[in-house]
Amino acid sequence: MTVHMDVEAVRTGGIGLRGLAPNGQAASRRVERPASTAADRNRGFATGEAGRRWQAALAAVTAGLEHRLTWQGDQVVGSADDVEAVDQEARTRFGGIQSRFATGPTR
Amino acid sequence: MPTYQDALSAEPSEFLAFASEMIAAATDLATQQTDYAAEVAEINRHWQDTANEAFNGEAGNVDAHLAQVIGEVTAAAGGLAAAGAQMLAECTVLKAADAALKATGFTVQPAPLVTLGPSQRTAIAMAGPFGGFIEAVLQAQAMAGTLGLQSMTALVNAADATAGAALSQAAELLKPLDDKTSGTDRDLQSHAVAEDHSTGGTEEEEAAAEEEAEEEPQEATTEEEQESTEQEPREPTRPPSGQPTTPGTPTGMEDLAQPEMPDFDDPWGAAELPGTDDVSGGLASGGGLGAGGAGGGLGAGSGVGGLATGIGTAPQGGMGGGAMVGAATGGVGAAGRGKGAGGGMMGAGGGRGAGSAPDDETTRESTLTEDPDEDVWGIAEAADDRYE
Repeated sequence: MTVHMDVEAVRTGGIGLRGLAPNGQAASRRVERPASTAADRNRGFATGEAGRRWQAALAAVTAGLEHRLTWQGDQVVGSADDVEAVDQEARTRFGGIQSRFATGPTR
Repeated sequence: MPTYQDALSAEPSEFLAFASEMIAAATDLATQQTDYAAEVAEINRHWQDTANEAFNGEAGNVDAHLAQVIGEVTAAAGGLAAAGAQMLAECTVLKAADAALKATGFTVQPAPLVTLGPSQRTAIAMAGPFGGFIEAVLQAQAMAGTLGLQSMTALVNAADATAGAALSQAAELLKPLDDKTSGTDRDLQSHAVAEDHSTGGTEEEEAAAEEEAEEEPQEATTEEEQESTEQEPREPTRPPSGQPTTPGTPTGMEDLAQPEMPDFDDPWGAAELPGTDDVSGGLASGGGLGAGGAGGGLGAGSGVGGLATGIGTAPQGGMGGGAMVGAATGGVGAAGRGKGAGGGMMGAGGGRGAGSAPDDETTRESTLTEDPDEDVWGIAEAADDRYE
């Protein structure tokens, strides 16, 4: 199969995923105050308390989304690091072989 | 369930504002989804391997989750907006009715209950004979007002219950993704780092090694379970150091393979007899006279003496002392204390005895009847006569 990676671009993409992760929290933060206000100004209404619970559930969802995107970013960056390490190791190995050829066999 | 007073003081418009922000939140999530898809596409443009395929599978899960959440948020917002608008309308009518009743002089109690107000009672009192008629009309209006307010309160309650149940159900539908943050380090470490495969085997062997590595955790788990269930400690089967093991003997030959031996603590140690009552010890160390004679007869008759002398153990040496005079005397005497110089058949036995047996032969009673003053064997003049 084809194996290809532009290490720097992929690493940048992983960092981008990390940076993108917290954006989902904006959704739950946006409804936090309206949910609280609706509950406070409509006392006795079941809808008000249900709105609080709904906002808390959405906050949990966005938090999980942030963690997942952060984790994905870590995985992508880690994959880029791994490929770079493999390339570095192979380069060192072949460099050693080349130097042995240059110096000839030793006893 | 809101009371009449709750309904009067309610601001259902806040539900509409909440629903509007829900829509905005769904828009935020949609933007997040778009940005995420763009980032994934950008990564995929520079990455192609099996790890990338796995990443895309994971990205697909997140995208589907985002789409589902956006749909649920939108639906919840739509339901809340509708319920909020309904409650707003009902509460508005309720407030208007309450205000109209109060404007006409009725008193509205929190039940809700509409009663005649003070101005109305004054008017009835001033009406004279028509007071009864006016009171009846006002009471009928109050009754109708009460029924109307109760009906509208019930409608508000019904709308609130419906909206609350729908919102609660929407909250339960919001399930967060599993948190994989705790396994980040392990996942990163699981990536194969570059290794020198120049000394490795074939690809098949490497594949087999990878399969074994995958099976190791399960095997380790089963071993731990077995160890937890087996409380018996494992004893080492190795023989003690310095102690050669006895070679196996053929079946049915056990009696012949192991000659009867006295119980020595260490069969490879110095051959010392354990005590004066030991039969073999007596035979070997019974002095230069009686014991030596007995050994000579036994050894000559059976031929065991040859074998016994060669082995050099204490009882067999004693027996062989007489049969193979020279060998037994020289060998044992050299290893012992140099007592083998006595010469002759009896001297051989005595030499063996002196070489290995304890020095308490003087306490043993001889079975020979002889005159101690008579030097029958000519040993009284020996320089190392132990009986002197």
